[in-house]
Amino acid sequence: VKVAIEVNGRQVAEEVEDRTLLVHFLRDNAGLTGTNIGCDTTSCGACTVLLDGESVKSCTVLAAQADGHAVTTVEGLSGVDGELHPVQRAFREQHGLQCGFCTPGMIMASVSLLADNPKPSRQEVRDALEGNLCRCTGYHNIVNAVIEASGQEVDR
Amino acid sequence: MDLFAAEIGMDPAEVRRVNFIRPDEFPYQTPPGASYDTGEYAAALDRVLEAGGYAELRAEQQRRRAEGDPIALGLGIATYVEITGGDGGGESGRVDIHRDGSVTAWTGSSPHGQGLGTSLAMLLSDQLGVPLEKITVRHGDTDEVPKAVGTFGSRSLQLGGSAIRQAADEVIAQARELAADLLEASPDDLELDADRGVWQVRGAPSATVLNWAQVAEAAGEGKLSADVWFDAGTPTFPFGAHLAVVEVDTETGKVVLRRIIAADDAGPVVNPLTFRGQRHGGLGQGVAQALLEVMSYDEDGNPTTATLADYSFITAAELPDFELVDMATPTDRNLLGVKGIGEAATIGSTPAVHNAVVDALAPYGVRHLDMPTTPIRVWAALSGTQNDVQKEQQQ
Repeated sequence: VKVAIEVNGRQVAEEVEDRTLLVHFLRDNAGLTGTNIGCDTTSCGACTVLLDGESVKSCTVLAAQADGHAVTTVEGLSGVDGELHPVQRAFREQHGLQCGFCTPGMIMASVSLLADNPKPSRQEVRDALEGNLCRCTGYHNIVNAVIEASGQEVDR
Repeated sequence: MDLFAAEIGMDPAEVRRVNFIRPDEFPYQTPPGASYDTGEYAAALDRVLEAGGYAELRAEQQRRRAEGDPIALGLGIATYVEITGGDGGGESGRVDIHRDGSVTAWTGSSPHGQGLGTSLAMLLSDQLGVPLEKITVRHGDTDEVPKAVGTFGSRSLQLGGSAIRQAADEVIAQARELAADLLEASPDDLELDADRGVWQVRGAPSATVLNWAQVAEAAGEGKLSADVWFDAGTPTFPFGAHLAVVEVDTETGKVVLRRIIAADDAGPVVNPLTFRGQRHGGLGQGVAQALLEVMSYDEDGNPTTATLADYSFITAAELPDFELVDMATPTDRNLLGVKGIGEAATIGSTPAVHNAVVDALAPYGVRHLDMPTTPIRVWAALSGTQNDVQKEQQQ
């Protein structure tokens, strides 16, 4: 099937197998390997990207379903001069990542959360990130990072 | 420990307190043969109980019990001593100072996300007076680091960090001789100003100084270099105390961790942010083991929790913000006085949370539960059908 997706503002049109998942399209066809494949079962959230601005787990979306739509991956967040997105900057400042495997998905889920709820409480951050798993951080500093990115004071 | 406390009618905190090894008993030889280096075990417990408001929490527990509140409050304590850097191996470290004044360090303890590279750079920056941005830490390539052990068992800072410290000590010793020649002074009269990163004659601050670039330029190969192997020959023994506060819905068996207060003492802290990061991660995983995570198998031995769709991995929504109590009791067994922090919070949090769940259920006659304390297990214990449920789950 012919699939044309606007990835980070760039048109990527490729002939792919019908069964191709969006995450494979992003990694193999668009050449953007920032989006990680974790569990392949919609459980871990490592592959989270934005589809028309909404966060989706790209291991459970067919590339064909995204045909004609716009996708943003972690590579699409930073500015043209490489300047980090406020959420990326906050993850770095707050030590919101250790091994880094969950980080692209965590960041995309956080961007989606802040678009819906610009000033979330800590509990709202926790609830919103429930679909994204992290083994390293105990989530504490991830919550700190999202609070900082929202412009609120980090107090713990 | 808690069963014993209940049996003799003593508070579980007090049972631990009267049995602790006292600070003046170190180094302490245990009957099985370990030599504990340093510890402030009672202080760790006292600080955690104070930070948590233990007396108030016990009063709240009594109030709920008296009122027959279906949401039972449970308090769990765990105190621990762990062994770190106990593998019996040492670690490599190399430090070069180049003719442009920049520094490259090679470590055999390959960082894998804990921030060790940053911590090693901070150590060098403090010791040499070189800004962080001029320090590069390299690792993981056997072409560059031919001899190494690795990062595991909470060994990296105490062994890999001490190796870097020792290599930098040797580089400083080389530099002292070179700088003495250049400044026409005795090596004994030279000092490194680690605030400015310059060599100067002691007591003559207005005289000529040399920066690292100038000293490295004078070295044989245009760089200062030392390659060492550090072996402490003995492990270190971090310790700590954790207090967990849980609520158990006695009608459904659902357990919610409300608070966890943790003192994890691993000696002096090089990087507070990554130190706390290690403890956060340990807490998350330790709590998960007590409440949720378990590998299950069917009767043929096939795993039934083989994917993250089946395995109850803990999420952000099931954890509270962590409350960390800071302590730093140094060891004398390595150059930095540090112990390991990688696993510490995992060790304290699992029994603390589990003890809290059992404590919440004490008025219902529950004295034991298997981990993890899933709702079905708690509910079964409360309804007196524990054995039936166990049988059911095995089938």
